[in-house]
Amino acid sequence: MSAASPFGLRLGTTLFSFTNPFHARQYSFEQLIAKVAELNVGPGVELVGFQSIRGFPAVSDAFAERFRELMYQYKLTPSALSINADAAIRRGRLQTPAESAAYLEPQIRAAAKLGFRVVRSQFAAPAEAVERLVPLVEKLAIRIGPEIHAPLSVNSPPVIAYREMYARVNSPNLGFIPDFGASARTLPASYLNMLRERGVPEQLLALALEIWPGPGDSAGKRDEFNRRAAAMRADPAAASSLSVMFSMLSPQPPEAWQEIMHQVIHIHGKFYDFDASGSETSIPYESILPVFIKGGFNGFMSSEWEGHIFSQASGFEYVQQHHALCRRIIQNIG
Amino acid sequence: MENNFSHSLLSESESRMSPDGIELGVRLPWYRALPLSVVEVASLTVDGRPVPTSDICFMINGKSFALDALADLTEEVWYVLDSGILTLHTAVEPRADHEVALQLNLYPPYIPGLVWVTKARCTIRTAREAA
Repeated sequence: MSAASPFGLRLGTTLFSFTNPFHARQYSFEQLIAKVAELNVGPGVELVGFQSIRGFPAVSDAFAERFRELMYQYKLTPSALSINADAAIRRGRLQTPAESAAYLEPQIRAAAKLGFRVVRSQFAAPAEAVERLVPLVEKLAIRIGPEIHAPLSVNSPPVIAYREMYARVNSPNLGFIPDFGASARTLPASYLNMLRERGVPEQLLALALEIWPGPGDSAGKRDEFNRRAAAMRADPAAASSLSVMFSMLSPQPPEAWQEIMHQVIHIHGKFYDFDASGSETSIPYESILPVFIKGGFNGFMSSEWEGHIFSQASGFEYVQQHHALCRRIIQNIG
Repeated sequence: MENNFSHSLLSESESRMSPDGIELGVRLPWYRALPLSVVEVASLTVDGRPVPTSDICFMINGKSFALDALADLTEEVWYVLDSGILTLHTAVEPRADHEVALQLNLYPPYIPGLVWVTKARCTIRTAREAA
């Protein structure tokens, strides 16, 4: 099996990784597509609908045609469209399952129009909402799955609710999308360094690093961090900048994904930093990727750099480094 | 404390003094388009003096909205590449520079309960005649 194989784990990139140059109006949507080809970080291309497409979920015929042309021209493949379950779009109350389904429906139709076969949904849509959409996704030949993102694990209550619904409905169009930030081993050094530069004291950083890997669920650990930070009379803004990391990264062992492997339809290859040997410093790709490859995963993994939260870098070099790391691991598995 | 969008929140090149007061160019401090229902101007000061909410309008998509109307606008979308304009109806000395400070809160609607706070400052410079 190789990175170029049409089956197994195929590599790709989400344009979300290039949020900084896009937001800064330095690169247009079309220029970013060209960049994916130039940097050789395809063939999969993932988009966030509400980021890349003005007027989303409405997609004009002209936009859809142009997107298909670009994919053909650059020999890229639409891998997944990230759609959003904006449950709290009305302030003060959440969407009902029927409203949530109605909100997702035009986004799923947009994915089909653009040639995507997978959509990334979110747990803000309850399982009941997605169950209502089964006839639609089956008709459009779209596979849909919520992203299992930190602080969730394969056995968190929202994930279990979906797994129970999936067992009952038994549709091949329903699945999950792991985000590897849920299998981290520590907090990313680049984020911690950014906080240092902004004046967050070492004592507070050390407290987060002490509590984060410990036992128990992420919410409980975040609460413990907040309690002890308050006891240290930490600046609330500084404490908040660290407490958010308890929901960006969580320490589920890589092997835990085996439990849902048959339902994994796409992957978010989250990453932050690399050491001198090219390994990711907070997410153990050398342990994670073999679990998916040996587990028979067949689909795309998008390289996903979340640098717009802590860096002004373009993301281009980081995504290239991530691809180099993943190619090396895949080749070593042979 | 600043976040990673603080540097782009206020656009000096799109801000100016107007006959009514000040126009501020504002970028969305998030990676994707959001409906105006989850956008909130938490505070806005000129030279340290708070501007009352009732004296501020938000212009986007060629329309102008009172700030207290935003929470109901679930269908009006702020696209991530567009600049909005905050128009401040406030008396300012036109021959002096002015310091503006903005705190914009977002309630990302797929993460119920999260408040994303972005703060920024900028200087609105007086339009000086060429010598």
